[in-house]
Amino acid sequence: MILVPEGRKLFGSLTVMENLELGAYAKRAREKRAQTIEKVYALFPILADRRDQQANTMSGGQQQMLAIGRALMGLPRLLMLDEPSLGLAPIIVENIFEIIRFTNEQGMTIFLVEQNARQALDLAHRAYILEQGRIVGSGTGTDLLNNNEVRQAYLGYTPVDEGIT
Amino acid sequence: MSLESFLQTMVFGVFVGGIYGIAAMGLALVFGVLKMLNIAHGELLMLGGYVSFWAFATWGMDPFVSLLLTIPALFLVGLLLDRVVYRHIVRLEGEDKIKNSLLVSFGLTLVIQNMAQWGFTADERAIPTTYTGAGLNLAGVTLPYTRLGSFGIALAVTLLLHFFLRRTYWGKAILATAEDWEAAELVGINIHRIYMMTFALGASLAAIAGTFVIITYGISPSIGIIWTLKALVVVVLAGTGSILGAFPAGILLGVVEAVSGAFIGSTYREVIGLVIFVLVLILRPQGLFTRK
Repeated sequence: MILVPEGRKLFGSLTVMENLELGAYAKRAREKRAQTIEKVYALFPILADRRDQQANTMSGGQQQMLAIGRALMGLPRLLMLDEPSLGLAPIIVENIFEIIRFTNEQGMTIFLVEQNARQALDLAHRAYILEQGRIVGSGTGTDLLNNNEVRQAYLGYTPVDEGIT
Repeated sequence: MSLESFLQTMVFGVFVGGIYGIAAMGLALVFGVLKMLNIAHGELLMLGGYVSFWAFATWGMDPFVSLLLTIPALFLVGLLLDRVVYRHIVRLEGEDKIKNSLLVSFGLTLVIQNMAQWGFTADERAIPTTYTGAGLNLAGVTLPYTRLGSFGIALAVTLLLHFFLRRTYWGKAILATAEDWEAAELVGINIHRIYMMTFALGASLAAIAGTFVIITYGISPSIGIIWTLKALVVVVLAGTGSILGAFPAGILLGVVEAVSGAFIGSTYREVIGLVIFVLVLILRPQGLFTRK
């Protein structure tokens, strides 16, 4: 179980490669780190191009990719992502979500906390809505996407029936 | 002043600066990783000097050879101090941490100093080697073997430390912890073990510096605080985040002290060092050897 924290928490003065290597610090992951790093580079080719660059000189989106890549280096069975879209441009967010979907399809269980409701629900097999710390709704991602209350509260639809106006 | 005596002054400045550099590097390492100021660093240096002296007095061991004994001895002392004292301070946060680290390490200074006085007497000790006083002569400039040896080892230790920090898994874990301990914990680094190793490593560096001090000058129980202050000046010169920058910063301080001593008079030597210290704090508070 590995967490990609909000705000990423990379080692800014170290290189991309060093960040990834440190992601595999745990003994079980360290033995396989040569193979894992190739997988991560295949998933994020930009990280391979910039392997010797200092982490804090990269853009926000690239840093987010590195944060996810570093977490994957630890060979987690469950990957927890806290607000991966925070502070990123919409196009980059799109990209990050695409990678999350792909990683999930590769068999990784993902636990995602995200305020970007539409894209998160689009992705989720199972979703929970939290309001002030309590679960106020749950269901499959598509269920919630089609639920009227959810659409009004989180997805920006007005109560007026769309067909009328 | 003739060119020769100017060069001689410079050379001695560089040699002394090498000792400053090694003394400061241990302090910078502990400060950079554990984020606390160890006032007792000079005391560890003093203990290192005494271990060398003891090896010399008991077995007639050459002080450079005795490094093989002094370094592990102070490494153990460092492990012990971390276990017993410092690990309780490292847990604290922010202002509490820096305040308590200052108080506790200052207290420790007094304890170690008094123990040294009781155990080794207040007499100044030095190690006379067969080659003390002898040296190379290059174009009228004397390079004493003892100082040349000290400087060479100091340089090698700096390079080794660089290699250790940038190339080994342990070293990278130390740098990662220095940068962000929370992130380090997230990737599974046992930061308390890193703190312990780093502190012991800092003590070992103090031991090397202590051996150089007893070879070059001599040692008595009261010298600790002087070296802590010197090291502190160098750490500020280098920039508080820069561990290896302590070495060039130490050389700079050594040269400036030597040259100003020669021109203005040696009574003002210490003053010049402190003036530079203040100037750097005002003009370039991030230090001379940090990338920003």
